[in-house]
Amino acid sequence: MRTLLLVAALTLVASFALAADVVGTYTGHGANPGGAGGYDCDVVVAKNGDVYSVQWYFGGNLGYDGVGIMKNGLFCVGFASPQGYGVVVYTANADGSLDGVWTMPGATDLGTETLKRK
Amino acid sequence: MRKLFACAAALAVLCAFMGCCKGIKDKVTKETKTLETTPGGGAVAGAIEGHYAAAGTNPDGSSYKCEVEIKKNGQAYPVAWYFDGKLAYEGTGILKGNTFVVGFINPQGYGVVAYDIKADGSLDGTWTGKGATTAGSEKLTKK
Repeated sequence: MRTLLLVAALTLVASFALAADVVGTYTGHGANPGGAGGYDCDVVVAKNGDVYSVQWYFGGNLGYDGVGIMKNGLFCVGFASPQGYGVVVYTANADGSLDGVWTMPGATDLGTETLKRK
Repeated sequence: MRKLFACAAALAVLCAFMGCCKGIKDKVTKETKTLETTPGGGAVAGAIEGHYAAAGTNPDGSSYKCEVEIKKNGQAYPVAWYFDGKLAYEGTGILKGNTFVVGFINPQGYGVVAYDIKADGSLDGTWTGKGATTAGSEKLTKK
């Protein structure tokens, strides 16, 4: 029981740490769904009240705009651009990097995206 | 301790008898089964498809009711929200452990909703939309 409580407490601390930590600027590297090539981008995560805003830049130009929340220790972001929309779910690593899986309508499998802090 | 050795010995004999391939196959099957059963309350991944009645609160505190349909398309989940029988929002979702996360859009804007998958098959969601500084909630109950 004591171990269980300790685990619960640590999980709680970990999720708070993640919530506080995702704000920042990142270098992103990803793979499109279906093995349709890789890409590099820059990502900015900011906090806006209880929620997060996320921007993806490709070659210095804003490519996608996103809005995010924390749930169950996951950083969950919906994104959109004039070309379409989608969803990405990140888990945080101990070194502050984020490992994501994402998809857009029409895709039947998932892309990946890893964000490393600048 | 003696029992453990006996078990190990029996296992070794069994393994040698059946061949290693069988053991590997069993392990893979077992791991797949573990993945299908979420640690929370036995909600099974892949069973979230269906029709739901939804009740929610907007980030501004007002409330709403709607109907939600979840489908599966490979590893992705198309989602549709109907208000008074009319399609209002479309989404695409990812299942991650016990959490179902959906990006949604309509001509007025877009957002994200993340649902906790409950043991009784209901989904407990938190969501926000572009421009909001707070989160809303949405509970889906299977029809």
